[in-house]
Amino acid sequence: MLRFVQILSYGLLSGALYGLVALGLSLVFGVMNYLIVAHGGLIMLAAYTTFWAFFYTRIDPFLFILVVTPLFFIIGWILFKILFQSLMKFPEGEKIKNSLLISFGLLLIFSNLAILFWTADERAVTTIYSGKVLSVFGVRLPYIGLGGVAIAIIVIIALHLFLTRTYFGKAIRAVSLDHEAATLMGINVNKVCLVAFSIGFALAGIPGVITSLHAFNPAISFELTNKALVVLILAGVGSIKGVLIGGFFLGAIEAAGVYLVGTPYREVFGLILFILILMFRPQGLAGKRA
Amino acid sequence: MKHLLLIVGLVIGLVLLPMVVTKAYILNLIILICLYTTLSHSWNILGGYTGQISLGHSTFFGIGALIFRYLWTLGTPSYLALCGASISSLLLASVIGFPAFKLRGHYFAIGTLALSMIASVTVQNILPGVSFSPPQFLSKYSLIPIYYMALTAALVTLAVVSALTRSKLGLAFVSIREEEDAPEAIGINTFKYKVISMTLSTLIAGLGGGLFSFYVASYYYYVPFELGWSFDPVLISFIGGAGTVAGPVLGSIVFVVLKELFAISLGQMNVLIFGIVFIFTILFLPKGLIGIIGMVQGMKKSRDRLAKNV
Amino acid sequence: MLEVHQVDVHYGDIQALWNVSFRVENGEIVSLIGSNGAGKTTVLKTISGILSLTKGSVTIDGVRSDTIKAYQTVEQGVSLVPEGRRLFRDMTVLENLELGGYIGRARPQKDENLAWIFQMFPVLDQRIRQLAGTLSGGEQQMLAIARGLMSEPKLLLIDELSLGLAPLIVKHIYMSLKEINRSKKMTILIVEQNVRLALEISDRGYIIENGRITGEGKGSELLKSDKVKSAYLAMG
Repeated sequence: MLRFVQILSYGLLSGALYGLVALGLSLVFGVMNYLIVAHGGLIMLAAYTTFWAFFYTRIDPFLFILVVTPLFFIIGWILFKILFQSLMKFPEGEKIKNSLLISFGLLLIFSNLAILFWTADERAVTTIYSGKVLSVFGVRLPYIGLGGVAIAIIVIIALHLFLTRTYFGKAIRAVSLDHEAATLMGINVNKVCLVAFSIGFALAGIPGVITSLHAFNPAISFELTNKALVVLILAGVGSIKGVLIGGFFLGAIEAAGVYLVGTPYREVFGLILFILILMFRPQGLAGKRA
Repeated sequence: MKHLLLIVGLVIGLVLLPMVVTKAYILNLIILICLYTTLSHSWNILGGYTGQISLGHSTFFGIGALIFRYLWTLGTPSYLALCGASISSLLLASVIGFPAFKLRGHYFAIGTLALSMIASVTVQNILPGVSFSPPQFLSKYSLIPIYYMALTAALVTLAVVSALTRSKLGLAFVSIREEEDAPEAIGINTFKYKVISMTLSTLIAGLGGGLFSFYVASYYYYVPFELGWSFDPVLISFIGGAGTVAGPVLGSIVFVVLKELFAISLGQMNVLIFGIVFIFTILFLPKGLIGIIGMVQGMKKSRDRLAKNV
Repeated sequence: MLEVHQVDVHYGDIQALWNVSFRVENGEIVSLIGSNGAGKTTVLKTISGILSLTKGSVTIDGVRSDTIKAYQTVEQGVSLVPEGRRLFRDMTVLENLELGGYIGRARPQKDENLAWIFQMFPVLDQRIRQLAGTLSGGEQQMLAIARGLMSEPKLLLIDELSLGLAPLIVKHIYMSLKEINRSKKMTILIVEQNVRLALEISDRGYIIENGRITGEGKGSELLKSDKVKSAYLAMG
């Protein structure tokens, strides 16, 4: 029984991270229908950035979030301008197809860049609190995991406030609902897409920092992209709260998988769930659109 | 007519080549080109002609390799094992692939991506070891039979795709690519044709996988399931020209040759370079090399026309 | 204040508007009437910049509006209430209205504008936190018009507001439009298939057929004209 609660706790802690991982992907997809499968690669790059920053400056990763977030926002801005903006001239179906293909290419470029520069060896940022746990009724809760949950909650609340209390945030939601109607409100849809895309990248930076505190290597690009896609489908498009819940759900399913079958197949459970949902309920558990 | 003679001449030349050229280097190059042509066309049928972007073709490639190895080790003659590999790929597709067609566009792509990840992880866990050729072949390993199998696979593939472009089937595929729902309106059962497209696609992918297994003496079991095998056919098809017969062939030649050159000078960088070329192609040359050739021919024709008027 | 001058519009290779010219003076209500497919929506979309013209010009108070981007025309004072309303269905009534007043110059006046809009359409105030998609047809049309008014436009364009609505509700909305025109001196261009109600509140009207302007006149005259009577009032 304790073992089950323990595994479930680990699953839920991971789940918070999964939610964070999917957030950027979900936002960009909702606003402009671009599925940036390179998202996992971005997170991986953020992890390496954090690792090397820590290596040279000993700056605490959680503090480093304040640097990574604007940094990746700028990177997203630049990449949108050079790569994805030129896609706007294609008709809708082509645009979506091409953005998918380009992101696929980026994913491979990112992971190979990482192998090239930093080898495939595993890295991890070790701080004084790495490995320390909070013990609650015999259940071990790693501080890092708890930190991840805290960050996830903060980010989601911040995002929610941004999207519901500011004019620009509402404009982003309007654009994700109806591009033409948004234009009729005087909203510059291109600019909104640019900013949303950059926010999406910034949102990759945050889970990247947290990832750096666990063992990681370039291959994590693919695993993380996986997680993001699974959570995206679970949550449905256009729902921020859904993303966090989806993350927890995935974490729980994986925990069940580990408990029943063992650790090596942890990934497979999530992916099978993914394919099942794709086939029977593509609009997700919480979302409204297919 | 001139075209046909050229092609027949080329094929005869390739068939006779091993009798004249014995350098392993050249034979290896041609084998690789045939392998990539086969795999790329398998993707091309589904993605280039029918517009269903699959990001997980490594799954079908991998199964082909797996089953081929298995049958071959049991003593099945190689060409029969090849057929077996092909069919096994189709079987897998019918279980998983066909239901996937309920998904549109995006979702099909990421569904296939997820599929390839599941396959990759599962194989890594169930078969962590190395797959070896049957011992009797290892001892008398020769490129010649591999060369001829590669050639056969590529020619069969090209014949199939060629026939496709001249048939109503091909037309149905393209109409689905151009407008997912419109063909339904004029009475074409889109689902049926998507299934046929995927059938051909996976049969040929399995063929490629089998060829791989025949060619590479030993490799980790998970290697043919790696993501690169999903990416390369997409890359090659687009660089050469998706939705054409010659495109993937041209793309394969460019890919293999460049990879050779880069391997010497740049090592790991080649994936990076190809990735960048790929993105560049999508953005600026969506019709690939075939498109460029077409444009040049078009320009020449219009210049001639002008010359005549003067 | 609106001058549409010899405008051609193409959808790809297909021409939709031929040499369309008309004007709307300050403070007028003008109707553009025609049957389905005549080109009415195309005209409005061209004025608001969503479609590009291939020949001619659109001028608002002397300034060309066809040379700027669509979203910039809102700043210029053009507000289109589109066909089918195109509300943000998953957002609340209030959020839709706030988005209507998105442009910089309208934001400071948000509360003021909400106040007079709620006076005009009290039902919107009652449903202020409801999701737009859950409103009835008539309420949605009112919301769409209210949203269009939030940007403090000089020129309000309304496309087919009567579609799918009960006659009594349509009449109520038209009365409200008349009141808005009177109290705010708002210039309104209405596009309609329901010809009678539109012409009844209009100062002037134009007839459009197959992408060409084929008639014009005072609202009351057009109502009485044989051409309009036979072609449109039988349906209206």
